[in-house]
Amino acid sequence: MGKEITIAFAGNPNSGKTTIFNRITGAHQHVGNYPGVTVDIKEGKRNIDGLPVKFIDLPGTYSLTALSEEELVSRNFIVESKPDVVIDVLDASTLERQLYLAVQLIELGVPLVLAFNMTDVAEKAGFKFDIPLLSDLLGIPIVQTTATSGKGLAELLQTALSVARQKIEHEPKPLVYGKELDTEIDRIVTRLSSTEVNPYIDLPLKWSAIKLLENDSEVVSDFMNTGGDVGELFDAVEGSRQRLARIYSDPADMLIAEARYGIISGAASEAVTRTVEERHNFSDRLDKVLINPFVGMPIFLVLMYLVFWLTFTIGDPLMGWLETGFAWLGGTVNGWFGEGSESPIRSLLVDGIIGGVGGVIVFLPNIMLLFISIAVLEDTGYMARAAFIMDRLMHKIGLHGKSFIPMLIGFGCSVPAIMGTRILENKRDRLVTILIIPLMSCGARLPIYALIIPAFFPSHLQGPMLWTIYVIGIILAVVLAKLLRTTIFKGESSPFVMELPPYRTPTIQGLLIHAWDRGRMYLKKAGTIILAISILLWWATAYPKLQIYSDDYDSQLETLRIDYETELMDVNLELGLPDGFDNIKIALDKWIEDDRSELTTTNSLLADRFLETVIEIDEIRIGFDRAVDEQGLIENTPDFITVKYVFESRLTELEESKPDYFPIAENYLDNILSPYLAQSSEIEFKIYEENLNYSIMGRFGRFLEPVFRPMGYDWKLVTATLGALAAKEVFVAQLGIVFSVGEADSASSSLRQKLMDNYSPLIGFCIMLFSLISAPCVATLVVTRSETRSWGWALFQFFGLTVLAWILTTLVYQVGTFFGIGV
Amino acid sequence: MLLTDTPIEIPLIVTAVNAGRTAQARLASMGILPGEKLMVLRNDINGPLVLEVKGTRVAIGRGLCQKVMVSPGNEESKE
Repeated sequence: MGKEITIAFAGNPNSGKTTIFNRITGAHQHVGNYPGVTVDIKEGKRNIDGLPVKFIDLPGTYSLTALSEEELVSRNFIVESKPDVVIDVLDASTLERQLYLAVQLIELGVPLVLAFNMTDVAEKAGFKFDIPLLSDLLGIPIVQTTATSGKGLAELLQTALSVARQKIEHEPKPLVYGKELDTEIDRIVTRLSSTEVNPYIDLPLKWSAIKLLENDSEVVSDFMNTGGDVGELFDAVEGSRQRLARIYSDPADMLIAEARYGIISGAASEAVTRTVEERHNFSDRLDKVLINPFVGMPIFLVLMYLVFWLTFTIGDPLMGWLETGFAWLGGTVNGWFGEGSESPIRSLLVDGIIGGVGGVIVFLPNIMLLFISIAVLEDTGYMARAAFIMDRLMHKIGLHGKSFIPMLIGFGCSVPAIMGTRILENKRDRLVTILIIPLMSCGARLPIYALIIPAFFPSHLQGPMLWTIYVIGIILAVVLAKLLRTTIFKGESSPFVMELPPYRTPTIQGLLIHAWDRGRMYLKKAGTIILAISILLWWATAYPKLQIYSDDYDSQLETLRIDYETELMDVNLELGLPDGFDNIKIALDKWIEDDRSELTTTNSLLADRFLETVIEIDEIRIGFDRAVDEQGLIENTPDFITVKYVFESRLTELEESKPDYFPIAENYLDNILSPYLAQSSEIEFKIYEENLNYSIMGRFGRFLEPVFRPMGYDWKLVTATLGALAAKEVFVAQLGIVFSVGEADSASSSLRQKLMDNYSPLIGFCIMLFSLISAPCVATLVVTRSETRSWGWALFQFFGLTVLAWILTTLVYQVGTFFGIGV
Repeated sequence: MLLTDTPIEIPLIVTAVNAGRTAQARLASMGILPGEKLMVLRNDINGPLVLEVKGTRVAIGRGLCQKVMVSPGNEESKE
């Protein structure tokens, strides 16, 4: 086995580089680990002719300066990792612009192969290429390819491997920059060849000379960092610059850029001809509409709505399945341990690990769908237009047009939104966008508002109140973006320079690879850091264990159970079943335990009929609740009354068809089972509450109470807020626990009653305001950390937002209290 | 004259780019530098301009465009 060959792909964005990379490596690729780099470099491996070949997909760039991270990453990779060959993928129809990068690759002296991609499209547009002549003029092998169909890829690989194995001599023709420039470059080369100081011994001296003349910040600092005496060299470079300045008005780096384009147009004028000048092609016509200031915006909003809809409407049922799956898993694992087991391992597995990680993994469908949507927008070329349209608005708050898309996604969930900021090339734009995304009120905060608003506000104010909360978030985001832009991220906002690539049909493979990449990254996170934090939160809520409770809950539960069983015996008698017949009890216990799904037979026709009736009544009632829930019906509205009537008539029908069993079954459900379940869960939650009080989280809540006091919070609200760190929606459940109302959801009327009894509308508003602004959930924290590759930014966001929330909520509470608003 | 003040869809030649180094290099990598031909495709009241440069369409922020000087390029100068 020979040495592993490394082939790196370089090229402009939208040149088809990644499509070729995907075609060649297929699914065998991953994001390479290059420390300190926030730009992804993808790697793929494949055996060719029995030899291992490593492929690298460098970020798409137009140039190789040190002025943007992508360009620097690409250049440093080539300089440091020395790939055996670089394939520069060029879109043949915009050849001259694309060759600008190729010329810089030639300057680097790296073995190079040019892939003329989409030559079929270019030829249709009227271009004619004399490939052998162009190849000869540049001294670089050129292969024609069509990335989407895979045409020419085999030849491309063979050529690249031949170059790598030095079977084809790599002999680029020397580049001619013009008399004056060449003279000065030669002078610096001479100076370089006589000095020991050169951090780039493997690279052509001419490259170093050009870079020094360009005053490339990275190269200059590399020369300084050698510690050698660079004074003379730098003086020589400065002398060259001054001589050039006497002849030309442009600075040296511009002269070099002009000379590069000169070289390109020289070669192109010989080897490329354009027969027909085609104007107003498909892309032109589409752009007339899509970036029109009047029509473009509505179309953009509709498309964004579609993305949103796809991500959350299609994703939510999938999310539901995953939730069910994790609930089942939790139940199954629970079953491994004995009834009422107090095993800490059970609790760790079920509540800590499965609950915690499950709560994160359920977002996976949303994330995959979102990234498929984003990939479609990007691969078709629409994303650049969207950024163009939004730039008018976003520019005003110091952000890039593209920032709008992740911000919008933030209304669904901050996690995919923060991952979505990858579409922003500029680091500052990206950081500001990441930092403000949590202010876009995410879907998980909606249950909190849904609980609070009806509890404190009359129905005509409920809609406006929800709207107010969302708008407060948006206004804060805008203000904060502007603030960050003028303070921490001060400086000229990155100039809006963006290619509007021709519209194209995306490939399914490309879309799937894109979505899977993100999904896999997300899963990896769920399996590591989020797992650890979930366990920590679980531990803080579960420990230390309380040994002695304030009341003898066990015997209370036992009494309840005995009462329930006695009453069931009465049902037996009423049905005319023999004394001591307990098959009904067994069947019902099993039925309740299985979440009311399976019913076992009892070997008694009478008992079976009774049980069937119980289930039928129960099903109709559940059906009614579900209908109200799904259609969002509000009590006493005409729709509600209609639905209620439908279900009530079904019950009447059932009663008429089973007159013997119906009253007994109804009595059992309403007067025996329901009170029993309600009372026992109330006791269980009392136990939970006492445990929580005693736990680290509970103590922490009490400890922090003075801090939260100025914004009207008591320890119960503090503890619920702490629990909500895991996920915002947990707040409601936690509140249910601290108020011991049993299982609480956002529609829980008993919890609402408790809130109304305990707090004022002002506090209600403060709860929402604090939930909106304060520390995002742990998943957001972790994603911010991994996307910024810095705990610093993640913690800054986490605590910064919390402090902001505290200040604003305190202000609202104090001012409100002072003026007696809503107290 | 300033790039932002030119009528659309007429050939132009860049005469100077008076932007900072970063912006200059950024524009150069897109083919916008002295001596190069371009055409304004879209110039609305506000927001970025859309240019045609070297067979590609590029959107450039209005502020940056105000730093680009151009002169009318006649058709004959096209090779």
